[in-house]
Amino acid sequence: MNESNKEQLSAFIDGEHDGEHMLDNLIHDEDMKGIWSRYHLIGDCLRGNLPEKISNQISTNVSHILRDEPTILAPTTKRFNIKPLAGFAIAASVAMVAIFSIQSGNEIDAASIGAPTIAATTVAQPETFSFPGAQVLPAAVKESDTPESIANQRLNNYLMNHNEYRSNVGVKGILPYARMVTIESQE
Amino acid sequence: MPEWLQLNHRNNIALKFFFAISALLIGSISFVNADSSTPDPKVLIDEMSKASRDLNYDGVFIYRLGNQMDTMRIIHKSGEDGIHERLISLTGHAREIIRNKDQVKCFYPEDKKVVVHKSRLGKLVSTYLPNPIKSISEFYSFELAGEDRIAGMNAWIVNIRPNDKYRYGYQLWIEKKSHLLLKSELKNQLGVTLEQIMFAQLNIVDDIDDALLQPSISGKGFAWYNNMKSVNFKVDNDKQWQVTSMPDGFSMSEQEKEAMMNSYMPVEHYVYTDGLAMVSIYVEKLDQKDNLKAGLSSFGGVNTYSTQVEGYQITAVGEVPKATVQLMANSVKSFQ
Repeated sequence: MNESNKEQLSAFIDGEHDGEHMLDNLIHDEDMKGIWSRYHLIGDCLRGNLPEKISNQISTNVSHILRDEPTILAPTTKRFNIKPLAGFAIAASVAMVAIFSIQSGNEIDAASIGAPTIAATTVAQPETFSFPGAQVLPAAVKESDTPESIANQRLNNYLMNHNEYRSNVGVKGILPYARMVTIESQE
Repeated sequence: MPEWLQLNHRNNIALKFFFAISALLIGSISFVNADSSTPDPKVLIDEMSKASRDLNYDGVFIYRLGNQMDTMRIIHKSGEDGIHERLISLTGHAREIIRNKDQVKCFYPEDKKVVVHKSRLGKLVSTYLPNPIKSISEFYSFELAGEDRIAGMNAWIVNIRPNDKYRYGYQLWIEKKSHLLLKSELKNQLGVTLEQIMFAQLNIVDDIDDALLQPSISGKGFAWYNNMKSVNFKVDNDKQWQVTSMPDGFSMSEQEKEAMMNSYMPVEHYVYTDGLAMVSIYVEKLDQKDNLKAGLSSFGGVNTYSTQVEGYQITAVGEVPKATVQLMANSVKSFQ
């Protein structure tokens, strides 16, 4: 990936590039994906927007790239002024363990008999690391999240999203809404 | 027995018979009267939807899920510029949700985190109203089940029973005057309550002070996560997905690409509804490192089922029985 590509990516993140080819590249180019998420992370870091804890899922990628390119903290492009983050590039560090198993046996549910059931999830907080200060990028990163916790987080995102859709439909007004508050507090 | 007495006796019987008939008639007349003053449950539900949206109220309710119980305060304002809502968790972490027609802000003080989502307010109101009730009569039975008192107010109890095993039922307590929802239970096919909310106190007011709708948490120094950005680009050669098997009455109401935390790619989201129940189908490309969390999970009344098709994770999420999410997720097929 050459410098001009990076500049374009940076401009794209700033909303100053139409991004038609950029998006194609972004989808298919692993390097570029890494740079994309790193730019966002750096942007957050510079603005002091980093949480105390960050999930390793993204940071692992970042650390790999940082090893190759340690100078990125002083980007040459003037437009390196990243807007508040685009959701899907950023990992949140939350103890998202809302999902738990269902083996209640309360339901007559013929279809589920013989289906794979998931054992109760007791994953507490995913492996995280702390930033010494918001302005400093991590020097070292531990090995990544367990696939299990990533899968859980994904399911939690779906649940949150579904509840927001649901919270307006007819009868159920408040219930999905209440779920959104409780959804991450199951431990 | 003398003849006249017998006659008299006969008259007496006739008289008694007459009275009995009269009593029956009067009874049935008064029953008809009572019936006409008793609201139609479907109308009640319709009124409830409107009241929950259009009134200004401030209340505290209890939310019960399994063995867990939480208390929350909801402040709802229906202003000229749409709905403003604030939900405050009164137990555990002091989380807050601020919602208006554009966005939903979720404050998580324990993580020093704010997550901003796109709001569905307004959008769905126009999509699902004004006749949500008529379309669902075929798949659910409605009945007025009695009266009760919740949060110091008198309420009608309405039962919504599913007509097949692919849907859940509800029991609703609707306030008699304002038609606000005072209590709600989500029930499975056996009538077991899966999830419930109940107001402990509810004040219906003329106006809500805007100050009450501001979060008590400034969010300063918090990490902000914005999921508002629209995702317009095409993914994977425009691969389209379709649910090929689902219970009667379900149809697709929305389709969107969602930007989500922890996902590199936007997630395809298909929304199916029968007018009351709603099932979301999420399709996300799996990374090689990713581990599919296959099978069933649940959160209160929400069941999820995940499976894998052509390197994609397919997940169905909805307040429907396990059989339904499983049926729908397993039937998802791609076409180009």
